[in-house]
Amino acid sequence: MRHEAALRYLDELDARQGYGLALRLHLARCPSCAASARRVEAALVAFREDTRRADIRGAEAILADSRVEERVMAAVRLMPPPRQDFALRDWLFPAAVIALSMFFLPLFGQDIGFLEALFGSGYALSLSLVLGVGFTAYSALFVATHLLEVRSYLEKRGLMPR
Amino acid sequence: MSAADQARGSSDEEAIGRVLDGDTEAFSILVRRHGARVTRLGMSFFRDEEEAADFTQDVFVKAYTALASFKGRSLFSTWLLRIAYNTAINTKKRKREQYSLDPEIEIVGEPGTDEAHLREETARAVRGAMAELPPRQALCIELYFYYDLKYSEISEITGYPVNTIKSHVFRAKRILRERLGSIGEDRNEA
Repeated sequence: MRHEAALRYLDELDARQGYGLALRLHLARCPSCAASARRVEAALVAFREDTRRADIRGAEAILADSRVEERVMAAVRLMPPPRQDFALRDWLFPAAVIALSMFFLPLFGQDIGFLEALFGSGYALSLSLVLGVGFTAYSALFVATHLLEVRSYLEKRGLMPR
Repeated sequence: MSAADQARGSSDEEAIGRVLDGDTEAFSILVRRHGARVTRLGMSFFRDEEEAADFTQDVFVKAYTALASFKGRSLFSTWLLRIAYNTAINTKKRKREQYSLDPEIEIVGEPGTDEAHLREETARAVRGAMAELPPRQALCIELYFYYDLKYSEISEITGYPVNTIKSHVFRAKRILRERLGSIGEDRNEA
């Protein structure tokens, strides 16, 4: 690695990123690049120490003087608790799989002919019924776990029963 | 367990989990742990203690409201700084004020010593690099040099592309390396 490439690599380094093998080998053989790397590293550590010492002390004093923690906690106690996100997509995918199965599974008669052998010719209807029951149970579970969202959805559209 | 013990012993994720389970008081752990960082950012933007305190309160109330949307894909501190950054930018826009950075850095060390000189030069180089940029981009440099954040984290907070941030930080480091290089040469000559 050449000097210019080594210095460029040093200047491109991300925060908290270690030196690569090629750079380490170069620094081990090149005292001037190694000294430059050490100087910048030391300067940045010193800079962070200086600014943090002054700023954190200042920030903590502001937090204490203004009783920010008390004010924040007083505000959040009056607010409704944060709710887990309503991940409709996670629920819609399995529902779509069940619904589509109800229509398409019986069409694959030849592939699942063994079911006919086991349950007789009426199996297609039975399968639809089973999947229908599954879909209903799934929908009921969805409504039960998202009562607030369902209620707000119905209220927005004026469909909420009185 | 005292509140201080709780603050030390509980990770951010544990505290967030407790808040989401209905333990509102656990939110104070996060306020105590990250309050200074948010206030410090507020001071960078507003240069006024009272405004910085109001800003910190505002940021934490927003964070509480949006806590369920924190999925742990980034650190909580990065997520919180993104809220703080957006809040600060919006507050400035609302007040039609320009964001100006004027970091005043307290230099530690015996005046006249090599160490103090090094620290002064570093602060000057960082300040110089920041002064060359529009204020919002200058904050990228501050986030890198002061908060020790990665390019990807800065991009997540500010919305600037990683390559833009990288090139600003690169230039700042180049300036710093050149200045420190000249200090080294001066010393060798002496």
